[in-house]
Amino acid sequence: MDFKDYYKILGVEPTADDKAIKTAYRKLARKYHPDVSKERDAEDKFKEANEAYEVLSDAAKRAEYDEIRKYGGQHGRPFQAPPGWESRGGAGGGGFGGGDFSDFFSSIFGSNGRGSGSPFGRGQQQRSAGRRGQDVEMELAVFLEETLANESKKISFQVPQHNAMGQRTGDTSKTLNVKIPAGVTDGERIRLKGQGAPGVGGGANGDLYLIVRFAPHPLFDVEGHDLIITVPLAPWEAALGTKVEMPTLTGKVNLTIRPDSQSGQRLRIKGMGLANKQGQRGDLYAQLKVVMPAQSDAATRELWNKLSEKAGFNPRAQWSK
Amino acid sequence: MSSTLIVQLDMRTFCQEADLTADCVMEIVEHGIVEPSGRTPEDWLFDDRSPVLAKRAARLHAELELEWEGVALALELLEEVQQLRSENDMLRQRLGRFVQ
Repeated sequence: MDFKDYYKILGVEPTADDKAIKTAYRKLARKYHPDVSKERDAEDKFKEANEAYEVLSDAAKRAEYDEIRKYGGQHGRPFQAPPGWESRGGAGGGGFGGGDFSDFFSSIFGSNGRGSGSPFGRGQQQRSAGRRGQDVEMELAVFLEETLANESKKISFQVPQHNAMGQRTGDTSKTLNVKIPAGVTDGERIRLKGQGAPGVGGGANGDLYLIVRFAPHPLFDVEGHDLIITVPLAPWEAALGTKVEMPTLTGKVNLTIRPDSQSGQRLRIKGMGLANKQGQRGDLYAQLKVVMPAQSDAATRELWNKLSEKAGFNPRAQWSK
Repeated sequence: MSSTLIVQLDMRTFCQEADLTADCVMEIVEHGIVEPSGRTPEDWLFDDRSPVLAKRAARLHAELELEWEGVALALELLEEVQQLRSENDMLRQRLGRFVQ
């Protein structure tokens, strides 16, 4: 167990007054609140800040902590409570029991050390004898091809386990076969009732929420229910027109490129996009991209030369207006 | 095999699912954070996205000491940021394909 420097966590001086501590805490809480922050370890940082504030905002706890800190604690270094240490405020504390604080915190203030001042999960656990299990949320990567038909997918996920006191005791792995409904969209939530964490004391199970995330496709981009594919063309193909065999999500189509096509131009192939809930499919857009050969030999350059003399084309006509 | 279904929750079930008191849910609805169908709380029906949204709102309210107006605004802005981020990712990817 490592020592935690609560002042460092909140980014305040050890001499900071209550107001400065509160301000620092609020700032961190806003920054790292798991519902707000995108950072990966936001939840841990939020909990850490909560724990630090729990101690430093309470005069008695802060005094106790300061004593320990004087005893030689350094942030991140191994720590052991002084021999015979017993918290003065601990035993008679909140009696809340459901805290999510660190071992370091418990070693100083005992596991009952939580006061009522903590904003974390206030009052929720006591309402009824049976407590509903937690909902579990996870992202589910779905390939574009899988959205066209009702496909099944095997998923594994972690479900938090709690004892009768509501304390977290660990995680268990669960595996499920999930039917991915045809026409799902990116960001859509799929609810699987009762597949979350088990209820405590006869409470109902929580639910599992799957948030659909489209896996990036090597060829297709998604825009609503439409798909976009980039079609590379040689300059002469764009100039003369051609036929291109083009991949779709399910097979291939022949695409006719008209003479004098432009780079960036979009051609629509109806009904080859993604499906919606009613089974109708969006369109596939082929976006043309004129690509130059990486190198050209003397003979080719000579041909380009002739072309430039003949074509009389100024691509920057707009500039001279 | 698990299947998916369209869920509509009445007030009582909703409170259970979201683990919130009726008073708290009323505040959340009054501020337009979740929008059930039906006129009075007895008729309210919530969709299955609502419990998560309401819980999020309640957490922000309690843990960041935000007023409900602030919670509503924060959630709207967070939603918008999320949309802009994914749109940005998508455009970036498309641009990449075109430029490379």
